[in-house]
Amino acid sequence: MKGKQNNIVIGIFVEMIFAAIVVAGGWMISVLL
Amino acid sequence: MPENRQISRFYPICYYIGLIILVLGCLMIIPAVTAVFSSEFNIFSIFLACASLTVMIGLGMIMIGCHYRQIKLNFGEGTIVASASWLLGMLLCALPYYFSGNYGSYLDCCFDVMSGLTTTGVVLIKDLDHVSNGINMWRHLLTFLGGQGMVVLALTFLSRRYANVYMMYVGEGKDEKLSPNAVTTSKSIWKISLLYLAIGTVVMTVFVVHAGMPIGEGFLHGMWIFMSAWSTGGFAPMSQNILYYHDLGVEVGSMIFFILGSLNFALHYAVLHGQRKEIWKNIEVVTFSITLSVLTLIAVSGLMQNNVYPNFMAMFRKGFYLMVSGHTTTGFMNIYAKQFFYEWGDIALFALILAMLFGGSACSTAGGFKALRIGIVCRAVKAEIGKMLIPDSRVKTSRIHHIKDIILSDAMVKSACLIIALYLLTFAVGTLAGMYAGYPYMMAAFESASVTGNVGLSIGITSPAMPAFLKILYIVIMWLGRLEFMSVLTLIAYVFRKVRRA
Amino acid sequence: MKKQIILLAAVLLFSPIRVNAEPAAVTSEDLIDHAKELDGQTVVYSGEAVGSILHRDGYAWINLNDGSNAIGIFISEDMAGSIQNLGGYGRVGDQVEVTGTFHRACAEHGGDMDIHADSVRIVKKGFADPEQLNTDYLIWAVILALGAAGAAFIVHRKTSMM
Repeated sequence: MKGKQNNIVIGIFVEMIFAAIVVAGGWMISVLL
Repeated sequence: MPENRQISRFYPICYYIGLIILVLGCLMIIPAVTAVFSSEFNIFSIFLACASLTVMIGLGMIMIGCHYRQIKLNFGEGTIVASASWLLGMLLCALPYYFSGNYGSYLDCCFDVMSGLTTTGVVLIKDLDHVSNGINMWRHLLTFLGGQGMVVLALTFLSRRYANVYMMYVGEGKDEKLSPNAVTTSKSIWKISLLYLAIGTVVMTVFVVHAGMPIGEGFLHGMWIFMSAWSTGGFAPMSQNILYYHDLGVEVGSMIFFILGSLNFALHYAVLHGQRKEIWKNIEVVTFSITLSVLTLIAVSGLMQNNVYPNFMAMFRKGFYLMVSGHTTTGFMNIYAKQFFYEWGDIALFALILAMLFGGSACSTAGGFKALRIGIVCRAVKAEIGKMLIPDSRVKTSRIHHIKDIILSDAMVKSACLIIALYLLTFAVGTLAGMYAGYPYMMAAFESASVTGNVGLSIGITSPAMPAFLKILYIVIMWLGRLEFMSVLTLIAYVFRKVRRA
Repeated sequence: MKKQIILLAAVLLFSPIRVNAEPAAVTSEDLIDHAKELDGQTVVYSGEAVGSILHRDGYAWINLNDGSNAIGIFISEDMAGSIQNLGGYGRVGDQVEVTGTFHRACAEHGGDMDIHADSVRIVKKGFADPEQLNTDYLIWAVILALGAAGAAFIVHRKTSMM
């Protein structure tokens, strides 16, 4: 049960980081061009 | 006898539609409660009355069909339940809007409901800046509900022994099985969404309060913006949409949640259950990243050519934000609609139109062709080119990775191409209609792409003054796009057959 | 010739967009439709203050709705003090007239279309305009709610007996 909860918490962090990377990518494109 | 069988098939369909309508009626209690806490007593009366009426209609339909509810629905019937529920649901959910006085006509009310349920986001509401909390709650709730799906919502209330409801689930435009059973799959989808609702409301409330809003109102705005972002809907509580807040934090926060909302629920399920590598191995993530990058580069270069934005911060907060908003089919805007037409220029608009049509992931709240189909078609094209270049008879099987490794079959490619073709046809019809209504080509194409892909960005066509035929057409297009054609076409065929028999 | 000069003068005098000299009185539609021409010009815009005043460290944002669109106005903290009433459900906000520099895509504010106000004037004070309780709606609501409760009870009895 604890493992399952851990998975969910870490999973959410992973997803947030993914979204942040997309946003950062857009920032880079805006800055570089 | 065929006639008897035909009659008895109607009853289970009626039962399931009734169930969905019942759930919709119960949901109307939420805006009723919101209205009470905001001292909006007329609004409370309206929602209580409409909720009761909807509940009674749902119960009536359940009573008619309940003896036959164990009959297994075939593919056609399941899809009919989905499309008919959406149509009847739209008519009933429009009633609170109609009595609120915020709309010019019942047609306008139906338009906004369909726009909400399909998570499109174009609006016909009048005077949004003076709207009640109750109505605003209903608007955003409809988009949150529509994103997951009303069939999915209804399925969560059934017990697991209703294993024969998979066809209804598919009829609503999803076909990913998170778990072997449509009921448990629906429950998982809602659990993921509710978990994010809790996190997202807190995060967005923080950003909105930081932008200067008072805490009480800020909480409502935070929750509503999250609901709209996660469902890739695009409704916002004020008439200026996201521009109202004039805040980078609100823009970045909403971006994070609408990017996540555009991801496949099967992907969320996998990542949240330990399969973390899926987030970069999945074909949809890869495809979306590539299309977003390429289209953004094109758009940004087009914007630079026209000197639209003065510095990189403005380019990021407008150019990139609107591109992601369009590509994920969210539709949050921080410019005025006509600015697209007056300022963006053809190149940037071309890239944005493509982004809107390409859309987000399959089995998500997003619309458009879907990244999975684009990925499949690209891989198939690559395989075909490979076969032509390599002259020997070696047959190489192509694979894609979507939760697990899947062999790219001809049937998959055919299905992807067919649906893309239907979307393109719909887009063409919408564009043509816009031009007949008197709008220039670029505006007609933009708005058509926005409704076809259930996006919600507007270039200025959608307004209460729009011709009625265009409103009706857009409603149909939004409905077709969201349910991915099959269920609506089956419903039309079913009604056609019944009428011919009579 | 004289007639043509008088005609030209009349046209210039009455045309809504004047690029120099006095600040032009504009509507939100003018700002959006003629954003490029008005960019950087001093304009006079008025509308109802709606929503909330968004305070930002010595400054604030207000959004003024003139019936067609709401435009964001960047004002100083002292100017914000003069605005007491804000529009929403059951409330009409202060009718505010601002004079300031219009930006099509403000470099300071991430490309937002805004007006940086030099001065702010309350044209008309706002007021509460609460809804009148509609007893018809309330009566229908109660009747229908009772109907729904009854129907739910009947259906529950019937389906649990099946």
